[in-house]
Amino acid sequence: MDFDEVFAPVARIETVRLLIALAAQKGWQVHHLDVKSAFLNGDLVEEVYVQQPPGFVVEGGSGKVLKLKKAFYGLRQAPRAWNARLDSELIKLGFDRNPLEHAVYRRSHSDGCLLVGVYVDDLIITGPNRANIDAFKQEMMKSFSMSDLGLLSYYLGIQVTQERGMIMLCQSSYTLKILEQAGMKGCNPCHVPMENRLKLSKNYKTPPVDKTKYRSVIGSLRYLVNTRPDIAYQKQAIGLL
Amino acid sequence: MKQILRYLAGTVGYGCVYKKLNTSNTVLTGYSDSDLTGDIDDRKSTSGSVFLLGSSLVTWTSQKQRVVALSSCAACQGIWLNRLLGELLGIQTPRVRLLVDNKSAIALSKNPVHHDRSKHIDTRFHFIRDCVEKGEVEIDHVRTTDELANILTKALGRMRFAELRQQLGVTKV
Repeated sequence: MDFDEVFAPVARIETVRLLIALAAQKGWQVHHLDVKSAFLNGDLVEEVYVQQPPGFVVEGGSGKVLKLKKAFYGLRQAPRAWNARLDSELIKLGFDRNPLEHAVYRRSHSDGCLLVGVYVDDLIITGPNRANIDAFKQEMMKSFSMSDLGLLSYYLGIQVTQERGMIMLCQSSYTLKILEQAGMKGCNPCHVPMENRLKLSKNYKTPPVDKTKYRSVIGSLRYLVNTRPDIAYQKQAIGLL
Repeated sequence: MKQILRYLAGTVGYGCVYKKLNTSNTVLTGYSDSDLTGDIDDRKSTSGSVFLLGSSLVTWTSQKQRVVALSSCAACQGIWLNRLLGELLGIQTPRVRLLVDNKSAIALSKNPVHHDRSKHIDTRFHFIRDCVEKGEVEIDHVRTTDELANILTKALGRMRFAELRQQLGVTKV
C-alpha cells in the first residue's frame, strides 16, 4: 500500500448545530450546496492501476491494465482525495481552515464573514451577507459540478425550517419510521418518556425480549437524539441495560 | 422502552428551535448536573451537561461514570466549543459560564486546598481548576430549579419535564 491515510474530516453534529445556532441568533440565512459525484473530482497522489473492465477492453491490448488519473467510487483513498481537492480549492478562494474543526472554513469580507461547513459532498454556507453567499456559489460552480439546493432544508436526515428570525430542526418523519418499525404506530401516547424516579435494573424477573429488535430500536433512537435532547437520558438508561 | 416510544408517538413533530436574539452578544453557557444516587446495579452515577449559545441548544451529553467531580469533560467540551465559536466569529469570545447546582463542587474547583475526603478526585479536578485559574471557564451556582441539565440525569415528573424541555427550546415545530 502506498497511501497512509484514508481519513477525511467531516463536520461534527455539534459543529453543525453551533453554526445553525449562530446563524439563527444573528438572523443569517443558511444555504446548502451539493457536489455532484464528488469523489470523481479527487486527484490521485498515488499510482493506481485497474484491470480493464469487461466490455471495454482495448483491442490488441487485452491483459494490460489502466492507470487511473482521477479517483473514483470504491477506491479506499477516494474520500480523502476529494477532501484534499476541496480543501485546496477553498484555500485558493481565500478561505482559512479552522484549526479546531477541519471541516469548517471561514473567509473574511469587508462586511462580515462567510462560514462553510463540509460534510463529504454537502456544503452548508452561512454569513451575514446574502450577496457574498451567492458569489461563493458562483465561484464553486466554476470548479465543480454542483447543485444549488438554496436554503438549507434537509441535512443528514434532519428537516430544517428557516423562517424569519427562527431556525427549526426536526426529525418527525424519522420518528414515524422508528414507531412503524417497532410496531408502535397508533399506540397510546404518554407525557413523559420515563416514569418519575424510575430506576432500571438488570435483575428484574421479566421474560427476555428479542435482543436484535431491542438493539435496532436503540440504534435508531441514538440518531433521533440529534434533535431530541429530551430523550437523551432515557436512551442512555435503556441502552446500558 | 415502550414508554419512550409511546412518548415519541405523542411528540412526533417536536424538534429544536433556534431563535434570533436582539442582543449582539453571543455567550456560551453550560449546565452540568449529576445524579449521585446512581444506578441500583453498579452504583455508578449519571452525569449530564448542556451547552447553549444564547438560548439555542448546541450540544448535550448524558452518560454514566464512576467518579463525578463536576464533570471535567463538560468543562473540556465547553472550552472547545468556545474556542471554535471564537474562530467562527473571528473574535475573542468571553469565557464560558458553567452552571452547577452543587455548591461544594464549586468550592472545590475554586479552592486549591486539599480536603482529606476528596483526594481521590484530585487528579480529575486538576484540569478544571486549571481552567478556572486561567480564566477560560467561569463556574457559577445555579438553583436546582433552574438547572437545565437535570433532564439529562434523571427521570423527571411530568410538569418538571415539560418545563425543562421548553427551556431547552424543544417544542412542536
